[in-house]
Amino acid sequence: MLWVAIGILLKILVVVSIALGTVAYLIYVERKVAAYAQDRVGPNRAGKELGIPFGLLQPLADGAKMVLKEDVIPGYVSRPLYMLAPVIAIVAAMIGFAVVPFGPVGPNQIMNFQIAPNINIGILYVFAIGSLAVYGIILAGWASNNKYAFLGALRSSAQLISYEIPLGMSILGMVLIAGSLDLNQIVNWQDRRVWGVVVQPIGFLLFLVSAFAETNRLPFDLPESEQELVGGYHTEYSAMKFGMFFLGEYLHVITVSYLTVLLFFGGWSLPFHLLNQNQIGFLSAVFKVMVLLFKVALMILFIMWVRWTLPRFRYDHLMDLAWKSLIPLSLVNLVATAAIVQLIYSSR
Amino acid sequence: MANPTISRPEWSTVIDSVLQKELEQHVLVTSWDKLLNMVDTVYNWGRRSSLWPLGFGLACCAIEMICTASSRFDIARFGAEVFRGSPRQADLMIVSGTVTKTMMPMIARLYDQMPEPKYVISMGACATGGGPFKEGYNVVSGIDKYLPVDVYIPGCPPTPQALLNGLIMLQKKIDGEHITNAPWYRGDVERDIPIPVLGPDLIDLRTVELTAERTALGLAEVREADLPKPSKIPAPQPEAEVVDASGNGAVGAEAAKPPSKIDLIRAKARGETLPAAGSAAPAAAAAPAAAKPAKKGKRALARPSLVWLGDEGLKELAARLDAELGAGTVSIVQAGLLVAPEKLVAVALYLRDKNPIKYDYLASLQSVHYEDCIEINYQFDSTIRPGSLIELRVRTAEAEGQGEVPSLYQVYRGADFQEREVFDMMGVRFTGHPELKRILMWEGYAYYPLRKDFLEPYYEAPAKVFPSRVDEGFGQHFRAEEVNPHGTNLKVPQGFTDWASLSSGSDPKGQPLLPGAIDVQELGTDQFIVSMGPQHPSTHGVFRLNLRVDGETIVGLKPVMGYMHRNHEKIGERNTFLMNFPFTDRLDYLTSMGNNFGYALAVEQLMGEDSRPPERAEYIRIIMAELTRIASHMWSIGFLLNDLGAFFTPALYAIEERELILDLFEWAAGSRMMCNYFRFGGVAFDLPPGWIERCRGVVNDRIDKKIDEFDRYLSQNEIVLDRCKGVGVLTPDQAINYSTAGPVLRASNVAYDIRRAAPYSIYDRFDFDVITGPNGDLYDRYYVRLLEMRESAKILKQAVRDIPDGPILPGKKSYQIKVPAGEAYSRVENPKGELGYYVVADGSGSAYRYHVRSPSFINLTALEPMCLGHTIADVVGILGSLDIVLGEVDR
Amino acid sequence: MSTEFTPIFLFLLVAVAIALSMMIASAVLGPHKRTKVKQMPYESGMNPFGDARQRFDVRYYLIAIVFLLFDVELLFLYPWAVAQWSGGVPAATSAPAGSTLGPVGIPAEFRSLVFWEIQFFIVILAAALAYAWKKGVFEWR
Repeated sequence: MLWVAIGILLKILVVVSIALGTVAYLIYVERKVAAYAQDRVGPNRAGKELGIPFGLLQPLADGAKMVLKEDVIPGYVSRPLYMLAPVIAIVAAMIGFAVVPFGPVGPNQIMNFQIAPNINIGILYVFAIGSLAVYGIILAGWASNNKYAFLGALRSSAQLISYEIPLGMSILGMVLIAGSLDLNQIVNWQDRRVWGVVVQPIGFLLFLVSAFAETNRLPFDLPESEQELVGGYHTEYSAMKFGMFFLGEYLHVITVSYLTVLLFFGGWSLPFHLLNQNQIGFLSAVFKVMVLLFKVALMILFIMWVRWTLPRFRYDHLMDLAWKSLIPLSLVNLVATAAIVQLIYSSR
Repeated sequence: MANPTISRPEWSTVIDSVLQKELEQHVLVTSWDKLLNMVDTVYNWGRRSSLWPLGFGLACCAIEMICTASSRFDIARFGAEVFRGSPRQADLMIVSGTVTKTMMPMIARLYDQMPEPKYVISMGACATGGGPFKEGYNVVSGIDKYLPVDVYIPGCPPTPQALLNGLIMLQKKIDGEHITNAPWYRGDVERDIPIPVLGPDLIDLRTVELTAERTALGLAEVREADLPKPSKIPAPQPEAEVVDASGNGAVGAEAAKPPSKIDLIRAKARGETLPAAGSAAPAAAAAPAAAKPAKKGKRALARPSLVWLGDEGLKELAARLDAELGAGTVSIVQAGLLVAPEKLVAVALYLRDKNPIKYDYLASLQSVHYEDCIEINYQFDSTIRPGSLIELRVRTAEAEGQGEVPSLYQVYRGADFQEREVFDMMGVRFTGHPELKRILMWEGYAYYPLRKDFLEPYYEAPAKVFPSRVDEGFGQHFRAEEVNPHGTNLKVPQGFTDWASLSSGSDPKGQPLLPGAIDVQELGTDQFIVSMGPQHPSTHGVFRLNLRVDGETIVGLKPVMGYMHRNHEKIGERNTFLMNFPFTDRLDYLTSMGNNFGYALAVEQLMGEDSRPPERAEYIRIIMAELTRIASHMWSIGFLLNDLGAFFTPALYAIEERELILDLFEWAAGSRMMCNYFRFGGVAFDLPPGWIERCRGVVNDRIDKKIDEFDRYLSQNEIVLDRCKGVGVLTPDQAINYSTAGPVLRASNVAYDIRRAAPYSIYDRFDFDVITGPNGDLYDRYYVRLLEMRESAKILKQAVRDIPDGPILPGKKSYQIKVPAGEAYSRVENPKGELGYYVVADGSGSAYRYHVRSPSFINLTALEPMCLGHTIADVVGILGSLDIVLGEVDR
Repeated sequence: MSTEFTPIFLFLLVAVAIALSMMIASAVLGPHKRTKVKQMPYESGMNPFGDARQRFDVRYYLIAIVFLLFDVELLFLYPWAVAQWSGGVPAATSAPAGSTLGPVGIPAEFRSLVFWEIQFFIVILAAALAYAWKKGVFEWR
């Protein structure tokens, strides 16, 4: 029992350290993507002293600075909530990873690339945890006692809860088709049949749009919307607490990218069964992890690319989009999917 | 950790020093010092490589700061592109531009709210020491009067390269810091800056007692008593010639006083211009020379502007007005209609509604302080029959605070801000104006600064060059600070005693302008009052909006401006005519060539035919003005998209093209932004060889493609359409009534372009269209700008094809310009709209009155009606679509 | 306490520990210069007008209420979506070893009945949405 716990702990630590490292570098990558999108070079100095090219040490410099920066706690905040908010933001973003498979999972595999492999309600768990993030934001805005932060938090909470519904509905189709809430089952189904994006194209679009909104990324970055609200809900946060919101946001991006790939792009599987669930052994596991990572990386790059390309929605447009387009559409999608599935499955 | 000391740990003092060396060499891994050095290295490296600037820009330098982020310079290489809106997350404050007194409390507060460790870069001459605007009554002579500055960057403005160099210097400085003596870790170092207070002047609370003491002694008044004052000229009269002003009472009284030391120095410095001052400088000789006598000389042709109704038409109009509204309503004075104050509103209503030529457009409104009166004059034009400009004059009591004129607010909404400005600057009250508050200065400021009898704290002489600045050897050169009894740019009237009421918590600038509550909801929810700005990512500079929001909806809005009020007009009255050119550059710092153009036209109008530019100069002027228009519109479109949330990508692409144009400017004029290129009767230098070819290349090969690119990617973008269509609509009637100008007016479907309405220079030779938009919404304002760039490119193609060879000035280059006495109002179609210069010359070397009709300022009048009922996000977009530049708004 | 959730609790502990350590590191290592102005709320460099915590727009509450409605309904749909076909479809048969919850789907004879029930349920949901829409809950102007 103890060894099992230690094994799990090790897995957790590996995942966490990789995730945090990735997040730090995602910020760097984001800045580089922005630079190339804008015909610039981007950070390329940090690390030059040590002969490290392309400014690869930039995240370290940012991290070092943030930790050593003064942590201002303004006088008029409600301190417990003010301190709690970034913790919620980062914890909620992190523990979502518990059920995300990073590679093949199953009784025959060499190991389970998943922290909690036996949870059969994977997606439900991810969404439950994901909606906790809204608490981080609304508490931050409320506790800060700052008008920009407060407006940002209000917008944000309304936005997040509104988009949670289409997000939840968009995957119902996949769940129905695969008959499981377990992400591994869904991947396995896609491996056997066809990628989710083919059977659920509308579901995929709904999911993508809602996922952008849930991660507060442009064109849905209203809670932060610098042009209007300076920094939005984290206006009053400095030093590492601000950094934690930042990290949380990028962790969400990773989670969402993983989910997109797992639900709609076949996870670790490749077309023509080049990789399939019956392959076991070390080499195939490595390949599967690599394939999954590659797909996720593409997804993340896509999200970044969009950010540096599109303008922002206005608030009422955003709410209109959720309630007047996405939710009706997702209902229709659900009904249609259920009907088609009913026809096909019951005829077998 | 909180407070480490440099001293070695205990053990090092008891053991033998030889043994210790041995130990350190062979046993201990490292010494305490080395360890600290390692910590220092990491600590410093982290901060130097991740300097996140606070995202706020003050003035012209801010434009160069933004350019530093563009692809050509890319501040991101240093990891410093993360401009943070909130001071809580910023490490570095780049004070980019003129620090005004109105802005100073905000800057101090922002600095105080930044977490440690924090750094300050003083960018440009203004931030460092006041720069060209140092003499201004609202300018802080250097940010280091308040904040500790780490790096100074010279330049006006410094180029982006200079800013990068400053950043590298700061990095070097950080490299030299030690964690052991870093001030932010030490408990004994005070890092808080007391917030200065906007009282009768900007009061520094650290020296308030000294200030009070010196004020009570009346040192400023004593000093001013000895100084030569600017003379006042009498207002023009219907028939009589200008009276000679040498019998001025003030000058006579002053002549009796014994000369002070400064006077002697000044008289000596003036030796070469004064016949009598070469010897011991008797007071009698110095005094009349110092005052500006209005010489009885040539007078300029009396006409309000180059294109106007004409003498005949004016006589006819005067007769008609007298017939309609009773005899004696108007009389013709110097080609303008002098109106009795009580009849002003009736005359305006008649002109607007009943006159055959309907004067529906109040082009400009300004005031002149004459010896015997304060004159408010109005330029009216008609959008139905453009080019029939007339001038109205109203005169009121000269004494301070006595003047009173009926407000035209109800007839022309465009008068709103302009009347407030006159109130602010001259103290003339407008009866019937609903919100007559100071607009550029703050409530409680002790003076009316544009009155002739107001002398700035650094005042030395009526005209530049100030005698104390003429270097006659060591010890003869005065710093401006030395002439002021307070030792800084400060002047408080002797009568002020209410020192106890000054508190840094008060907000005399914005408080009276809180938008009132409008109940729009049946459910009683609270409405927020938010102040957006003066430091805000999307107010395009130091501009502030007091918003009242109900949820996301704007239910009240009041713009607050003046944070960039650099006293352009007051300084312009001290400058010689020629010397004022570089100041016009800094009005709308994105369009310096266009500003030069307008100013040159105003003075050329006074100078008459002598200063007619030769053919080549006219072409060069047109080329420069149109290039400026493209550069400015590029910037505007880019930043409009930025305001809509497209993170800098379109803006930076727009800047790329602008850089090419700036290169052309730099090649021709020697400076990228502040070109100072026009001269009276021509331009400063001929185009260098190869310039025209390169310009042709840019015009023929690049600009069209770039415009196409913008059109393709932006004009039909779903989100852009969603955000822009139907937002911030200004109907044609509103647009005219609010005196909006330029693309804002034309987007509301009013084809009013000064280049066509009142053609100047040689615009009548070119083939181009006046672009209008159908709906007057945000999208139309965007699209009109886009299409105008195409028209500009069309003009440019014709101009670079046809430009002839020849001289660039009518005579030879001269620094002494004779400007005949008179009055002129010039209008040019600047990228932002109608830019007007109103100049009154008294025959001396500098302008008697100098006023800028700034399109950005007047366009802002229409902001409130455009925004109400929209959302916060829309306000940002609408403001972006007005395309304001704060240097011009506040002047 | 079932063992499937043990890793999650462990993960939660690790995550909280990481978050706390970040905050503590920042609090310990960073300088502390508390000053009066620094303690003030930031408002574009101004002194703030009034308190930021006010009663805010009622529309946010409406959205929250409608959200509650939909989210709870959504929770009903999840079990259905899983159960509808997992009884007989091979997808769910290879559940991971050690799982205590076996795949128990809807028996084949009830499937079309449940299908129509769910359709009816969704129609009611859609009607609720239409009602809220008509009542102007989603109007932001």
